[in-house]
Amino acid sequence: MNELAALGTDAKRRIDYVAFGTCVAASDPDNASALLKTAAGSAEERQVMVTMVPKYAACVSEGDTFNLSRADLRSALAEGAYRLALSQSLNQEVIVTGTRDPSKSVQCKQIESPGTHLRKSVCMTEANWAARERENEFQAKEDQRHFREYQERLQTCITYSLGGDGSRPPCRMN
Amino acid sequence: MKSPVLLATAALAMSLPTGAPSATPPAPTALQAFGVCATKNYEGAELLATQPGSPEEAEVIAEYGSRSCSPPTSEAGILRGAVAEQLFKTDFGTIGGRPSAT
Repeated sequence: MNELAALGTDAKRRIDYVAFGTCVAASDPDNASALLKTAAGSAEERQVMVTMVPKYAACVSEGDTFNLSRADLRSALAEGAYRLALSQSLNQEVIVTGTRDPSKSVQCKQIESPGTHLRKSVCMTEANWAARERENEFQAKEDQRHFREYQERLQTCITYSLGGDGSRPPCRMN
Repeated sequence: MKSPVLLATAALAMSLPTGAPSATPPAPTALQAFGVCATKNYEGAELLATQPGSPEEAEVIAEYGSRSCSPPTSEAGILRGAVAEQLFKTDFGTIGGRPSAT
């Protein structure tokens, strides 16, 4: 029997809570940080928790049911946020169990930020990285399409301005 | 019994309780004080290094209590959260923030 299987129900449940908190913090780091700036039990805390609801489902394994009080939820997110921030500072991988993501892990990568030479450490689950890659591919194709369109318009514009008896205005592109 | 924030994948049901839960939770200020005390006097991280629900976790919490950081609740998950929150604020502030030099 492995170590995890040997644990009691309560210990497993609590490990799942921490994994859940880490997963949600990775999915929504800004709101996870914002939540910890609110006062415990306040209306602001509740508001941030509600804002984060769409991120919760992806961080619960199929068939699992969590029964969390607000204090439990804040605690899970606090430990998750701390683990994530720590891993980012060390550029290490954080193991997350109990997520839908089959990799069961949060991976940190150094990403170039526009306008700065400094690289930013970003941590997400494998599913999040895959979604981001798809978005980037789509954006790259869109950029290529816009570039091709621009080239075609430019070519047409130049061809037109050079045609005729030379009295046509020069080509001006926006 | 706790007021539930129920999370399930098949049908995500969630309700954030507005009123006080039936089991009286520790006062936020007492929890915060515990987190500050544990972080200040014992670096705090040793609690988070233990496995949730393990005998080591219980030992660390008992050690806090036997010195100067009296735990305001017996729920270890809540105590871990208080320590994690304090460490997060002290060391990072945001996810992706630089660790403080102190």
